[in-house]
Amino acid sequence: MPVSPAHIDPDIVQRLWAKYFQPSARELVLEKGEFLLRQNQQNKRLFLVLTGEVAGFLESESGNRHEMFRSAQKMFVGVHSFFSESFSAYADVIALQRSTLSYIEYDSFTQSEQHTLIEDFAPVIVHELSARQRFTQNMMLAKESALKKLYLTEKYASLGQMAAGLAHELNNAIGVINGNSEWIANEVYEYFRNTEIETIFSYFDRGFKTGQTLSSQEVRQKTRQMTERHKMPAGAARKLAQIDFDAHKLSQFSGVMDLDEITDRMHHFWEMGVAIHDILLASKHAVHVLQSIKQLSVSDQERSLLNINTTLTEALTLLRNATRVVNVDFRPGDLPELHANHGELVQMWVNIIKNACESMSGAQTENPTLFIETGRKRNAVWVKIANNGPCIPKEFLQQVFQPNFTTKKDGLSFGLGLGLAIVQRLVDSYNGRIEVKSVPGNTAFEIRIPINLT
Amino acid sequence: MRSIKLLACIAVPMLILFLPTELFPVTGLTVIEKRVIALFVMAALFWVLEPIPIYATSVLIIVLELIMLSDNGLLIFRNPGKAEGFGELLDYKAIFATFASPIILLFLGGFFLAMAATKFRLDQNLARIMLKPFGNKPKNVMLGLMIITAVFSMFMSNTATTAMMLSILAPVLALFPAGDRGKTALALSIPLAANIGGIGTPIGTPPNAIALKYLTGDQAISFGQWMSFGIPYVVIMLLIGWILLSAWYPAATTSIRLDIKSSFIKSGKARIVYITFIGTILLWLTDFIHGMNSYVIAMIPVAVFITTGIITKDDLKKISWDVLWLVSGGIALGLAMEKSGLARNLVNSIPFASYSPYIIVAGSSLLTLIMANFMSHTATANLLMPILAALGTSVGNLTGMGGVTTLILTATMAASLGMSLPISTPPNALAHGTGAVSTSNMARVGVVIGLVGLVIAFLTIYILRLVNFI
Amino acid sequence: MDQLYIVYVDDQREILSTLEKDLKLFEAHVRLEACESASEAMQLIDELDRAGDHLAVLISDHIMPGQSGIDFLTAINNDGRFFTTKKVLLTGQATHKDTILAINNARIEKYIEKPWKSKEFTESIQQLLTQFIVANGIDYTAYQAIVHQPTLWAYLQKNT
Repeated sequence: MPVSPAHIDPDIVQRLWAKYFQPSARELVLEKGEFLLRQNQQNKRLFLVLTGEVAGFLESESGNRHEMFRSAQKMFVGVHSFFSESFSAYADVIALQRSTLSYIEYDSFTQSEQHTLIEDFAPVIVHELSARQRFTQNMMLAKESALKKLYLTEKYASLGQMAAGLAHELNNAIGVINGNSEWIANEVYEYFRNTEIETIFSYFDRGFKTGQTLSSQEVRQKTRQMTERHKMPAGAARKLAQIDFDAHKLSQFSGVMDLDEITDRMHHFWEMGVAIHDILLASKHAVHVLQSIKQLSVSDQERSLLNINTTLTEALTLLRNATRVVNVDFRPGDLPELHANHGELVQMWVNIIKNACESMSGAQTENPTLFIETGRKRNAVWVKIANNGPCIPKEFLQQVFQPNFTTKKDGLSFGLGLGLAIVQRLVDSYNGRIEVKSVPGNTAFEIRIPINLT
Repeated sequence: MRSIKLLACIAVPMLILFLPTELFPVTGLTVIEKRVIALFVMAALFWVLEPIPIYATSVLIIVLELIMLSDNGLLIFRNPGKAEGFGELLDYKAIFATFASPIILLFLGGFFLAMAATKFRLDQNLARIMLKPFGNKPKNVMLGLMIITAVFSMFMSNTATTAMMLSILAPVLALFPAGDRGKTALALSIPLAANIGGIGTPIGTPPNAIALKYLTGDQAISFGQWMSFGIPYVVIMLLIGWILLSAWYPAATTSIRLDIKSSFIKSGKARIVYITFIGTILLWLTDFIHGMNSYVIAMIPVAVFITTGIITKDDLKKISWDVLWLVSGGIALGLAMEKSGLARNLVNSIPFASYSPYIIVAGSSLLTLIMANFMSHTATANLLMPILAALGTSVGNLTGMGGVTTLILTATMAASLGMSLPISTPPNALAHGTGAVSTSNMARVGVVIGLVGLVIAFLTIYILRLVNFI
Repeated sequence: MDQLYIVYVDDQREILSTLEKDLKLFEAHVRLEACESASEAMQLIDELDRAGDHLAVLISDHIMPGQSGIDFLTAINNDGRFFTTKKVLLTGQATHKDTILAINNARIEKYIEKPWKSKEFTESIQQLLTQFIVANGIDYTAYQAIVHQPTLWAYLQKNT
């Protein structure tokens, strides 16, 4: 507990030294670790530290030693036993380094001398009292912050556990869905290829392979064209527009078959294709998210050689939903492999990128863009993640890495205030550095991680 | 498709309008009569093909009559050259009067009664009480539902009654196991009872009102008189329907429970509604004592409900003006055909007199039944009643069978019996919408009920003749 | 003219095509239109309103790039032209606060959570469509095949 020794006015010390200590001039020298006093030992001396430093320790019932005070140069030791007239040391006093002390004996003073002694030493006694109080106060504060840290670690750990549990629960279910949907998709695909005529199958095939490619606006536009140019009823026109039917082929069908019927059929098969396409996509996404959660919650700190660019790509896919509405400008540089934990790195990027996306969407930034750049500079790898959203107010810049700091108090994006604190902790664990710079339209986080050459 | 229909509906009457009168196989056809023919053909096409709502057609008829046939119409339509064989123009006030003919106001009175009853949940409460004695067996519950539906549809619109009864029935239908045919029976029993129940009173369904329009003078029928044959007819038809449905679609489920959550409202206004409702019906049944006819009586609930605030300004807006105007258009069409002399001329140009009167009665009601299956019952009555009325009065050998009254009454009943398709009536469409009734189920029951209903109608008229009612 | 529309807005095409499948039931009677953003939807419904058509049901996702679903539905709610339009929020991610906003400001008629059950979804839309039809005095007989029966009955019971 680094409690800096509080100094009493040097003039007072000088005066007291000259009046009481100097005449008798009794000194003693302690080597580092040597005991000056032992707990409950009789002590009728008042010490003044001339050089070095001593500290008082109290042994608790459980056998732990707690530092109670520390006295450096020009500070007194034994004030309590001397002036309280208990003449008993309440703590072990040990030299922290080689120290020289001067002392006076209580018994060497007459009764009247003892009175003036107390008067002269009053400032010292009061100072000592308040110093002790401050000391315990500081101890309490330090303890509280330690507890808080502990609590946060637990909060994070339990979130991780929850995620791990969830991932475990869903693992089998999603595995079954994913495997079977792939299988059935292929079966259906083959079946239709063998049984359907080419025209019909081609629409199934397109839906299957590309999903719905036209935007709703494009569909509407095409529908309008069909109804206006080809005098088609709105329902059929919409279906043809959705499957991106080439209007020039219309003449091919005229007379051959009932156009309504073939439209329905083409649309139906296209729709089935799209449905299967979407199912496969969604199940792949679910599998991916699950894998990432599992990786995040892996508690072992195992590090292996990996490329930071891969972890960034992975973070981006994990955040596919959030980054869907922003432009992502990713410029991976040529990086050496790094000795790191995969999950930890992904988590770092996820936390930063997610914040960026949320701040841009929260402020409805126009043309929101996420810039990610990586590179190597001497013995470090650097990653820069920037966005063109609103800037972080100056007064917050210092706080963003503190735990429990959050601006996301409401709405969907309620935050735990842990994101950047976790990033900071992880960066620290790699002996790296993180910096944030923010001006309107550009907020950038830059992380440097030294390349461990060993 | 819609535009093709619309084109046909306009082009054909236009063609008739521009053809010279000599080309028509009716001797001495006047220009006015030719216009009425064109109008009639137009109305028929519009009502059958329905390119526009049927009530819109009615309004169109009235407005076209005002412009082309009335003494205050467009000048060039008013015989500017004083040509021979032009015919008589119609009094424009008479055409306007169709909007507020006593029959329309009789119906308005009925609407007020129904609306007040619904507003104060009289219908729900009566349904709950009336259903109690029928227990839980599906077959019995069905009979109960049919009776309630029929009774309500005598005073409320068939559609509203069906809607109400189906919403009571729906939770039960949902509980039926798949494949239990009893579900079909229950769902089908509601529109059947609603359609038949409408025959029970003059205000039960619009065709009855149109019939009343042509039964004037010696042939006039009071509210009570109508009910005296209407109710027995409804009872017999309900029983036949019930037997038919329970035989064809027996329920496998042994017990069903209909839960109607409702209790009588005991506020002052509610009491006024109950009393007025009962009072009005009693007055309708006792016209021979107090001398007020059914049209006059119909205005009493209107006055009571309006003055007591039971029917508010907002409620007034909910009155089905479309139904009233649909009937008005029919009356206007009939007016034009009668006053122009066309109806009589047409009838005379076909040698009906040489046909057996039985064939005329059977043929006319069969035609009504067929038409009513494919188009609106009211529109059917609108088109056929004026011709039948003329037929009844001008064909001599019909008088032995009851003349106009026989023709009109059998046709009126036939009009309400058209219920073999989902499109036949709104109640049918609603029942079909539940998914419990297929079109073939409906057709099977509808055709049998229609034909049996016609036979029973003939029998009823025969008995009425025997007791010298007609 | 007088064409009924169901418009659905979601930025994910997969969701749009799933919705389209669930709405197929209405295809023959109602125009179905998919939109990928609120602004695209706004443009579309502007057009349909000018053509004299009706926006019967508007289904929107909440989290979308650009305008959010709740903001969009709120704008529609405050737009006199779409006073009777039935609004549906279809989302998996709205918070408690969002939900309150959706009810109080956007006055949504239905909140459907993703993932939704096809049958329940269709029935909800049927119900809303029917409410729109009867509330706007549109001839229900043309839509008899797709209306929600109990809703129609409740209306007919009081209005014929």
